[in-house]
Parts: sequence; C-alpha cells; structure tokens
Amino acid sequence: MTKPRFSLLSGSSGPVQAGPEPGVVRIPLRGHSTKTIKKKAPVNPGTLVAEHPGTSVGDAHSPILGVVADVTDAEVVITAGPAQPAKEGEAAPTAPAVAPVPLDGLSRDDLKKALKSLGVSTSAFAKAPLLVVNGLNPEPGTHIAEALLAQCRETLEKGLALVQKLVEPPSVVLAVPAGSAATLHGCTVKQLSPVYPSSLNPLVVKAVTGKESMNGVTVVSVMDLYGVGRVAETGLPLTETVLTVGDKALLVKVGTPLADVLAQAGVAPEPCDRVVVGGPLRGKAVASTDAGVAKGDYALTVVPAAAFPPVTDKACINCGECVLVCPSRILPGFITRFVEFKLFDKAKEYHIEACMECGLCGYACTARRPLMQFIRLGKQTLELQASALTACRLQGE
Amino acid sequence: MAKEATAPTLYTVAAPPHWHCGRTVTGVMQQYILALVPAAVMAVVYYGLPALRVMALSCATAVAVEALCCRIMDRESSVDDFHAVLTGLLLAFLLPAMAPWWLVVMGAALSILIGKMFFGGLGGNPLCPAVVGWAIVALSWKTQADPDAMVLSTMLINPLTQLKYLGLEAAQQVSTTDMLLGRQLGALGATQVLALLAGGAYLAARGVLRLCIPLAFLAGVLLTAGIFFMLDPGVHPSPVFHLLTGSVVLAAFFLATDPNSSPVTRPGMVAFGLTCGVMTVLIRVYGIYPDGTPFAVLFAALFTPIFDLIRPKPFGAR
Repeated sequence: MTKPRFSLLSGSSGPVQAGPEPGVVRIPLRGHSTKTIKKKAPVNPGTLVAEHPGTSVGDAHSPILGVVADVTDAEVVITAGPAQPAKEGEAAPTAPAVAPVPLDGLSRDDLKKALKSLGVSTSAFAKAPLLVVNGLNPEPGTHIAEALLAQCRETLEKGLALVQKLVEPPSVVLAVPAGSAATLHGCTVKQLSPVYPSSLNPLVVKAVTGKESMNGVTVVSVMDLYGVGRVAETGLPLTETVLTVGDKALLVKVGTPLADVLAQAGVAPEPCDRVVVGGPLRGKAVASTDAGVAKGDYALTVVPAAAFPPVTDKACINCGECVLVCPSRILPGFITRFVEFKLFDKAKEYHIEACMECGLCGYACTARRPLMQFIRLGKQTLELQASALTACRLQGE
Repeated sequence: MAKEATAPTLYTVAAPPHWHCGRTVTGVMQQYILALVPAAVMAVVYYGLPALRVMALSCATAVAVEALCCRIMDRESSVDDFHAVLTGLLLAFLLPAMAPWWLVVMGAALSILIGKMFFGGLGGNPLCPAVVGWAIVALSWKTQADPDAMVLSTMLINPLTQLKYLGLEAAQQVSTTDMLLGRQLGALGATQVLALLAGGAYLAARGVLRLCIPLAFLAGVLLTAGIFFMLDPGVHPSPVFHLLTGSVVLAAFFLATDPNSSPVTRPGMVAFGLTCGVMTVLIRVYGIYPDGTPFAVLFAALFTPIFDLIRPKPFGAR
C-alpha cells in the first residue's frame, strides 16, 4: 500500500475544461422554497427554479434549456431539450429569456440582494478590516485553486472587486502555496506551507495575522471568488461549479449527475468503492452517482474499496497518535470516548468546539475508530442541547 | 429477479476521512513482537531451553486465557490482535528462566485476567498487563519468582543483588560490556540490554514507538543515579550501572510505553517517563527490592490520569 501524500501541490494543473452536457440535471436544494416552479414548466438557462427564504443564501437557477420533470423537497429535476406542445398544432410553451443584471454602481446592500438573486451565497462576505483570499487547494488530491489562479486571473479579479465592495477591507491578502507565482491585483501575497492541513481557514488566518482567531477577518476561497467573477462577467445567474475529478479540473453545471462527471473525467468506480463528494479527508461519501453536483462542491474523489483498512467499533487504545497530528491541539482520543459514552459536558470541557474537522485524527487512528464522526456527533448534540435550553428559558419568561 | 438485475450500482458510504495511514492494532503488536525477538534469542543463548520453555508457556497461557475470557464474555475473540502473545512474552521476560511451570501459568493468566480482561479488554486496562501479572507472582511467590534463587546452575552473577547485600565493590565485578551483552543474572529477557536496545531502535525507526517516554525514562534514571553518585561515590554506583542492570531498558522501551497506561500528550509523556526513572532508582536505593523497575512503572501508571491533565491550550483559546 502506498502511503497517501498530504502535499497540496499537484505538480501539473491542466486547463479548466468544460464539463459534460447533462441530459438531466438534479439541482440540490438546501432549504429553498419549492413554490417558485411547477412540474412540466419549461425553463431556460438561468431561469429561477427555487428561491431561498433567507437573505444571504443564493437562489437556485436552471443551468440548461429543458422542462421541469419533478420537484421534491431535496431537489428539482430538469430534463434537457425544448418543451413539447400539449396538443398538436399549438406552439410549444417557452420560458422567458433571462436578461443579464447590471451589477456596476450598486450600493452595498443592493449588490448583496442582486448577488443573492443571482445564486451567490453572500453569508461569508461579512464586513471586516481584513480580507484573506485562500488560494491553497482545499485538500490533498484537489488542484482547482491552483488551476484557477494560474488560468482564470481576470475572472478572479472581477470577482474580487465585487467581494471587496461587500467586505470593504482596507487590506487584502492572497494566501498561496510556497513557490507559487500567482498574484491578484491589489493583493499582498503570503506564501504558506503547501502541506495539508495548512489550507484550513483558521490556519491560513493564523499564518497571515499571527493570531489564532478569525475575528475581524473574512476568508474567501478562490473557488467562491471564481463563482462571483463569472456572475460579474456575465450578469447571469451562477449555475456552475469547478470540480477536481482525478487529474482534471472541470467546469460543471450545477445538478449534473455525478455519474456524468465521472464519465467525462474517465474515472470509473467499481461497486463498493467510495465515491466522495469533496476531498479524501473531509468529503461526504455517496451511495449512488445519480445525485447532482451542488453549488460549492470542489472535488469528486474515488477511493478504491480495499485501499485502506476499514473503520471499526473497537475501543480506543490510547496510543496518542491523534493527539500528535491534531492542528487544534485538542485530545481527540479523549473527546471521542466522552462522546461515545454520552459524556457531552466532559467533551465540552476538553474543547470539542476547537476542532477544525480536518480528518487527520481518524486518518492516524491505530484502532481505526471513526473519530471525526464522533466529534461531529458531539458538536451537534451540544448545539441541540444549547438550543433546547434557550427554548426552555424563553418559555419560562 | 429482473428488478435485481437492473438495480443501480451502489457505492460504500462511510464517515470521513476516507484515507487511513494503514496502522492497525494487529500490525503494531506484530512489530512489537518482532522487536522482542533478538532479546528472546539472546535469552535462549544464555539460559538454554528452560528460557524457551518459559516464553512458550507464558504466551500459550495468555492466548488461551484471553480466548476463554472472550468465550465466557460472549464476545468476538480478540486473540488475533496479538496483544495476548505480546503480554505473555513480556511477562516471560520478567521471570527467571527456571521458574516453575505453575508460576508461569499463574502469571500469564493473571496478567490477562486482572491486568486486562477485568477492565473490558484492550483499551480498558489502567496498568500494563504484563507488569500486573509479574507484580502478583513476585509478591505471592517470592522465591520462585526470584532469579537469584531459581537460576542456580550458572556462573552469571546479579549485579543488583550484589550491590544490595554485598556493597559497591562486589557489584562492580561485572564489566559494562558484559552487562550490555546480557552476561549478568536476572530475569530471562530483561537483562539482554543490547538486544532490547536494538528492538527499541527498530520500533522507533518504524514510527511505531514514540521516543518521549523511553528517553525520559532513561534520563530520569541517569539524573537520579547521577545525583546519588555525586553525593557519595563510595556507596552508590555510576548512573550507567543503573541503566544497564535489572529491567530498566525493557521497562523503558516496552513496559512503560504500553499505550493504555501511559499519557498521550508530549509533556505528559515526558513527566511520566521521568517519574518512572526517578522511582526506579529511589526503590533501588531505599526500597527492599534490589530492582524495583516494574514497580516504578506501576507507580507512574497510577498517575497517568494526572499527567493527562497536562495538555496544551486548544487552538484559539485565550
């Protein structure tokens, strides 16, 4: 077995290629309202299919010309191709064409609203005295940040101009892996160690400011910047995301089935392999490749079935390997045992909230326990307990 | 049936991370056993077949008792992780080569029972199982567990006993080279200093063993023995003498580093190792035992929960 490498450099980053032309798209919804669109409605590229009730989560739009085949709470399914007329002789129904929205000269609040309606989530662009552009590849095995910085500088700079309007920072820092020649207009460049986990936002901020705190800093990834840049260039809704698949970087339409993307990249997973949306250390494994690509996805990783020893439910043997690799300097072994035995208060006492969820503890675990899973469970339970407590207090008043 | 034929391909769903370093409990135990092989060979060279007999009996008993425990507890058998073999081998290393069979069986059985399975198996034990087994038989059957009393047909002498009962001059009959090569009387594996050092170096080179505890242990021994030596060189032997006699090297590399009973953070490991080292020399100088190394390890392991409180501030904490 070859040991995985944690280098964040790919060595060679090919050009960003166009993704597959899907015959059907499944646009994932994240709390979006499904009242916006009906079944069988014709849609154009850029037609609004679902609005989000929040003020900062982007709306969902159709990436293709087609007809809405199904609407569920989780996804909107659109089949490609022009709509068929209901009766013979009638003209086929069509959706109105989508006009570009001018973004120049808008005030901060108007720009925020405009971006949300164009499908860009603006929650991460809070006002701050420092804006850091995270130009490191998010995880080992991904190389889109590198590819975008090398090849799509103009788009990134347009995106950066819009983000700067929202964040209003006096200074902008671009964090790049050591040895990279990438620059962006108006950015100070900071070179970081190109070894995972240095690409995690808290660690990037620490390397830039020297402080272990995210207060007063807004971090934007190059991938998000590229999305905003595309919107700025076209004035049309954001319906694409850039994915690393194998050794390729693909510009994929949101909702494209994972199977199509894998086929385009020439990656063929066998049954029982793991197909992971995201990188190998933090990504989410999916059971089926029918699901659509979501906005903000940055990688599709295939892990062969027998490549690594499987996770077990064995007891922690207290070897301390997780402690040695933890960038948050917490004791994952102790915390996960507390969570395992439902001692959530003890887990809190041992600073479970400081975990950055980098996945290295589970990677190094001799007993092969699902450490990150336990930590996420603990965090979620503590959050639920806290919200239940708040609800009780409000009732008592 | 037709439905099954058209069923979509399903992929494995698992929690992240999806990579693993490949280190497993079984693999680590195998590495430890491999690292003990040189010392086992040296033991057979010096003590002959009786040493082999003790090692084989101890390992076999440990494995059998663990298998039996798993059966009684209605659990999946855990003997295939090699921890029982390792425990049996370490216990044998602490026993004299001529130990009676029932003593070996008792020691190995109690190591697994009281040292490990009573606490729920590997991962639950608060103390190193082999040391627990040794402590019980050494306190219960003092003569049978004592190499000086059991190994009579030998020209080897035990420097620690000489030091305890006959003074410094008698203890210095054995040269440093002889002590390194294992030409001294003692527990069958614990005195094979050079072979154990080689095993420890192998483990450290493979990344299985973190050197914090062993180095702190040896430093603790050297420091404390150095202080005594400086105070009165006429009564106390040199620090190197303490390092190369008894079971110091075995304990530093293989007993104190037992993962369950040792702390997890680097500062905690150093404090733990130093405690072991300091206690070893203190027991030798003031205690009633010529060699107190396993007791020092047990003593320090009792404080592991306290050493575990020495932990760094988490990221972002003020």
